[in-house]
Amino acid sequence: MIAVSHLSKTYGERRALDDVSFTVAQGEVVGFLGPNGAGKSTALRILAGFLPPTAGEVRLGGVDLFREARAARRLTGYVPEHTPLYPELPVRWYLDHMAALEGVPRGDRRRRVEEAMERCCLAEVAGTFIGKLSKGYRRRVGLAQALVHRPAVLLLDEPTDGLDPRQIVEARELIRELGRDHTVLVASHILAEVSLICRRAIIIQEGRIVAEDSLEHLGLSARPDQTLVRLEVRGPAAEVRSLLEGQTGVAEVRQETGEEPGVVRCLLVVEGRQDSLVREQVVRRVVEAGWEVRSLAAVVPDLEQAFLRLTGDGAA
Amino acid sequence: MSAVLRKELYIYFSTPLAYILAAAFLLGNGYLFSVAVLSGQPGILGLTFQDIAVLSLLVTPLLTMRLLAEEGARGTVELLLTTPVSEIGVVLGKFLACLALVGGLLALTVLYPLILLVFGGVDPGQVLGGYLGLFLLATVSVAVGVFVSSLTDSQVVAGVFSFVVLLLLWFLQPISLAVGPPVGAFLAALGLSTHLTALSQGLWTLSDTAFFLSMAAAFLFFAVLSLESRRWR
Repeated sequence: MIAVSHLSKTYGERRALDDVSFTVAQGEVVGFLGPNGAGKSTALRILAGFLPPTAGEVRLGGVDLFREARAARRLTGYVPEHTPLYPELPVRWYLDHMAALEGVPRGDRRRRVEEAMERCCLAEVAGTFIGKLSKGYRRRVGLAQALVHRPAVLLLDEPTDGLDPRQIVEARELIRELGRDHTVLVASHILAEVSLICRRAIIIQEGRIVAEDSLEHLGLSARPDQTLVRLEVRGPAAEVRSLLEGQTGVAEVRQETGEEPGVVRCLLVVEGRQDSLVREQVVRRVVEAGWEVRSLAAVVPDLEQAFLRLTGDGAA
Repeated sequence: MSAVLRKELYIYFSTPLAYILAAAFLLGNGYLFSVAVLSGQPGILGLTFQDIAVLSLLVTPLLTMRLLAEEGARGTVELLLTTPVSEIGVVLGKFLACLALVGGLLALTVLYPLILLVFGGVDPGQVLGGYLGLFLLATVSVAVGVFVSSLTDSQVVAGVFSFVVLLLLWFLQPISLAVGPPVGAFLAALGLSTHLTALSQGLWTLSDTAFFLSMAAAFLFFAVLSLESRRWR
């Protein structure tokens, strides 16, 4: 559905995107993951048809984004960062306006607007001025606006930025649902978010794609049947390691550099659903061997570490 | 284009700005008209049209300043330019919406010539010519405003700058007198007030009409270019 090849964008001297190529299949929900300033927004702006790239080609469902710009823009629904809206307009009025801009025929507009409002749970605020809505509602209006012309592709830039935890959960749920009917590209700098919404991620740093794969393969989320545990033990490194490796349920031990001499820091990959039992057993064995357990913690993989690993400068 | 036009009209009529401006516009015109009538000098109708023209130049920048600057400041321009609507459609929609509003403001002033028509025995042709002139002037002042508003994200800068441009174009005729020929003649030919003189006497000429329309078209063309350039910034 989305085919991007050798896309580059330079702002003066600065390279915002550098030879970026990727594809997204129809019906896929893909995360576009990277730290702030990595080029995510630039890429989405190009895909939405706002910015022309310096070089490269984009095809949306076979339509060339630059040669057939109007047809391609009709295929995309775009929610820019911070969800810009017109506060003076009531919700229903605004959605009707956007539908008209997107070229939805007059006769279909009313039905499409009601449909989009229903999907985004906006029915009770249909007549409210956008300026009076809470942030969570505004995000939903932004999404409804992107949906109203039934685009094949949805481009969402930081869709949960600035929402409270409850709204974030609702927004993620909604985006996951949208993935059933649309091809979705979600830009985010929050790994947890991408791992909850998407199956596959494209990781971008300094304008270049550093990795592109399913989240499990990237090591960004543990497989559903695995958990990660970080353990610090005061004791002789080699012996601690071999003891840990010998435990049932421990699939892999990765030694990390500890901050203190004499303390061994390891990342354990625990297999099976009985991970709490394995943890208890590991602690007991370590204590029985006469060493001290400094700490034991479940590990949630985070983006920063993943970046360090993926970009290769992450020996530490 | 029609969607943009509809939205701009909705915003104009759902916010207080247009009503406040209409009130101020009528207040100013009413005062100037009564002063002119009380002075009892000849050529009152021409004077009235000139007052309306100058006041309309004060009012239009306040109506045009938000048109594109606000879209830029809010970031909605990004949404607007990712829909299939063309830049020409956006500019024309905004231009026509504002022109309709300014046209409405001008129509409100019809009271004064009407009074003169009833009590003063003025020539109806002159009234018609005067209003045609005012409307043509409005096409230029709105087009200038749309263009200037496309240059910046700040409404205040847009408003002040388009006011300065309009004032300069208006005073080109007196300036041309100070400069003297041949540069003066050129400046006078570009002056807005130069081309209103004949119309406010009720004399319609193709050249004056063509002047206003081509000025408006030129500024709208610049506005389209400037809006397109947002994609490159």
